[in-house]
Amino acid sequence: MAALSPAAAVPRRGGVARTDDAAAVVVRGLSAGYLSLIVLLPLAALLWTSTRGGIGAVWQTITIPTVLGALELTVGVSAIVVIINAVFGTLIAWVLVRDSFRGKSAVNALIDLPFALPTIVAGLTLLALYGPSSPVHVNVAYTRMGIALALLFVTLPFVTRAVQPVLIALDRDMEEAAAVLGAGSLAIFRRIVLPNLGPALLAGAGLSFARALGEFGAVTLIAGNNPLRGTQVMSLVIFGDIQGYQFSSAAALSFILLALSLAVLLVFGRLSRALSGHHDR
Amino acid sequence: MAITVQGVSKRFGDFQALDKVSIEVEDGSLTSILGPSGSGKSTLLRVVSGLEHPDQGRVLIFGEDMTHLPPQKRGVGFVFQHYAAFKHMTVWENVAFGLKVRRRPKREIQTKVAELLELVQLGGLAERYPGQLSGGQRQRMGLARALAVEPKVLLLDEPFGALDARVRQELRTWLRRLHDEVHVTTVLVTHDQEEAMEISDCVVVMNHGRIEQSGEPRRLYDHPDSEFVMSFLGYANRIGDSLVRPHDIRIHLQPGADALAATVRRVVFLGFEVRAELEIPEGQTVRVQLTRSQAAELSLAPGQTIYVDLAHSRRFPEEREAAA
Amino acid sequence: MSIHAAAYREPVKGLRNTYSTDTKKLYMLTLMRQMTASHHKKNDGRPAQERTAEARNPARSEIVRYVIQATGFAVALAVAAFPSLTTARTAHSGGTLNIVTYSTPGPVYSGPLAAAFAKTKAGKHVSLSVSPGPSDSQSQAVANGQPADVVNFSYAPNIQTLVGKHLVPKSWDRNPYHGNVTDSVVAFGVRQRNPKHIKNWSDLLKKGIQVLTPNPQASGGAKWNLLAAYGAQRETRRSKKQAVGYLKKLFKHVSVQDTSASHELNTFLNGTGDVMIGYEDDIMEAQQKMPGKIKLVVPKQSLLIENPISWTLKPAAHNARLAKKFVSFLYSKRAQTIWAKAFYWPVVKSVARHHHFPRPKKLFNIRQLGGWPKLDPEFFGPNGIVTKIEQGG
Repeated sequence: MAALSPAAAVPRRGGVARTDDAAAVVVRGLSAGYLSLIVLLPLAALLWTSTRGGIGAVWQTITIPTVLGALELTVGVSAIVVIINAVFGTLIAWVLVRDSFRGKSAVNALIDLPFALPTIVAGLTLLALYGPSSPVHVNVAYTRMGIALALLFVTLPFVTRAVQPVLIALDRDMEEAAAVLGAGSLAIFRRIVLPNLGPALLAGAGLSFARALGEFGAVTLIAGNNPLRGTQVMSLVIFGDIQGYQFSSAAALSFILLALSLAVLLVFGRLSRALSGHHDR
Repeated sequence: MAITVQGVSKRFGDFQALDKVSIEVEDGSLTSILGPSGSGKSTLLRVVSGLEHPDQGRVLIFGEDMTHLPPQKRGVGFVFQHYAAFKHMTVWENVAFGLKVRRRPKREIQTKVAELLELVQLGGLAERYPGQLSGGQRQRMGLARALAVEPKVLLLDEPFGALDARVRQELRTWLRRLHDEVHVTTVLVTHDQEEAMEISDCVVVMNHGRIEQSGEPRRLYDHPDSEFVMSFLGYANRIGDSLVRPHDIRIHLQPGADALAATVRRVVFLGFEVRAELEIPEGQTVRVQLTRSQAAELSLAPGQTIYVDLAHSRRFPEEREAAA
Repeated sequence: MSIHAAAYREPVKGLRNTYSTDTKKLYMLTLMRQMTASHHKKNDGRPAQERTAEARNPARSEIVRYVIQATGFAVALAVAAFPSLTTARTAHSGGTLNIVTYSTPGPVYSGPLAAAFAKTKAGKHVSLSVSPGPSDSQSQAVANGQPADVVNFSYAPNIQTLVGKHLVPKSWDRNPYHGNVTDSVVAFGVRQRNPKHIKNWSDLLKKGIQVLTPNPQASGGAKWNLLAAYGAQRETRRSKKQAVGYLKKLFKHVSVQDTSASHELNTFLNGTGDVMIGYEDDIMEAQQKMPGKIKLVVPKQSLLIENPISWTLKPAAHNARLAKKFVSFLYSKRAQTIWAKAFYWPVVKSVARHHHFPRPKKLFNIRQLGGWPKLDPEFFGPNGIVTKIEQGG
């Protein structure tokens, strides 16, 4: 996951801080200890719980038709959400960086709101707005559309916030050079801006995909949770298992989601690095 | 005329970048626009290229009014101070960019790019990325990229500004040779008078958004119209209300008619030339340029009293402003 | 029934636990578990499922519990360091009773029952530490070491689990009430004035009717609902095959399958669905609290819901003597009246006589259908009837 941070785009040229003095050891030890306590230990526990029955048991769990359907839905909706995010997240970042208008800083602050809001509140709000008693007469509650909407809401900041700083730092000269060379605005965006945003865009997309895969709070109220109508996402299946005290099944499904997220982050991270590999100055 | 600029003005907020500027650039010439930073020289170049739009005035390229055309349609080449290299493309792709955008046939692109890379001596580095090139190489790539689309005029915005002194000197000479080979009308913006003097057929001196003077480098040096031009095109001492070049001051060991007494403060050996810093009675420091042999003959030492007179000096009675 | 009864249930779910506790750690542990297992009402997961290996080897879930508890313990330590953060009051000299209950009765315990018990001789200076949560989780938590002097679950198998662990006496149900402290019945909630004329189970299959019932994988309440639907068919002399056919058709009318009965109620109150299947006490409560939003309809045939209670044995119990007194108190006229005002059917006949609840013409119980040990795997196991229907089979 760290591979996706913008800093990872900078090639490692034999570290300056690669000394083994006492301070470095302490710092390394502290971060390793903290990481273990906060992330590695719980993950290991999860892995252990989910695979204690053997890989066969995990396989058996995911091949249950309802689970398979939920997995399909979750991945599919997440993919769509990521594509929409990539397009609109970049667009928003573009407007925030390149455009100037009244209340820009307010809009800029607004972007982070989905992070600040408890996601269940987001779900509640969306339900009120686009549910059966919608003031705008749009009812997508308990449908796949509703799930996508909730996921779009909570994952909005990822792409925008990843792309924004890169766009700010992006050399305007390049665009001007392309313009003088005869490239129209579309060609400039496609051939110059987009490739330079690529790594950041991928990083943001990867994070929003991972988040969408596991999101629970925002979808729990607006998803129909009905396997027969294809409105049950994985996090809801897992939640159901936890409620029914089916912890090993919940752990197995969580493991699947985790593995999927990890795979997506790794693939996106690799792509991102491949794209940024030759940008070093 | 290759480029005609007529009465162009441009404001950025409160800042008047260009104030009714008019210039003409001859076909096939290499013209420098010289001025301190903030003088409007880069803005002028950008207005010519279409990257900036003037508030008023016209821009003509080979007689065609380009004032309202976007940069894409002006047929100019532009080289940027900080290279503006397409970081995500190889050297080859950078140079080919303009041709690809223009949808030229593949074979033509191949030959043209190869030819240009040879011309700018980057033949072996076609597959490198800009990040793997030195500054000088990057700028040569920038030049090849600009030339690829066979521009009617080539515009260079402080092209050597980001390079160190040695590379700068090298590239400057190289650019002049390239120009003699390619013969494309070239306009170069610089704040370095030596650079302007060395390579240009014509120098345009700008200050505060206006043209101070333009013409052949030699003429400008010898016959500046203003104190600004005189002091910007080389060092000038002020003695009384006269301006005098360091090499136009003669040093005598004995007093004579019209000679001023002065005290030697410092003698600096700069290889071929020797610079003496003198203090004249008014308390001003005067810089004098001598040859090695002159200096040897005089054997100046700090504290020594000598006498100076002026071979040429100039007065600018209606000076608009003091030298910047 | 009393108009004031509604006061016995807090309007805001999840904010109803104003109980005292003597150890902050315990409070935090409880809170942590509630957070992970969610904040739902009594129907959150009743009958145990046996579809995974977990049921065969409960130790496997212990690691998860361990992690949760470790986290909870860390939080508890932090909280203990900052006493102002906790709302817990200091314990009274009379001692503390740990009540572990399924979700809905939580506020009844910590509210009117605690107050009434304090007025008895036995209950003087006794403080109740009430831990409400989904029934299945609660039962497992006690099995895994959560302190509990009294347990009140939403169905018998949760108690049976503890009997197996020697934490509840075998004789727990040998009283005139078969160990149950309250009853209720599966019923319908419909829109005000019942515009779709839904009276009975067959009406749910009418064209265009949208039915709400929770997801049986997540919610034990859904199991009660579906078994009531199935049982009603059997009661009207349909064959088993026909009754299963009914369930299949019923699922075609279910639009939303919420994760719990309280979610389901919210979904219905927010305007989705023509009818929700649920607990009579839940629907009556909503009817009282949100007049005009929902109307109770009791079908002609329905299933009796029984909520068992017991005191516990060591090591779960810390005050067995007091616990026994408390359980006896719960069967007192006073306590049973409190239950009735909170919309539960009293099990004590002399009290029930004074509280008239809407009842189905034909009331059947879970034993008549075959009992939980048989029904749970048969309907909700990995190859169960309902599981297959959910998979589209």
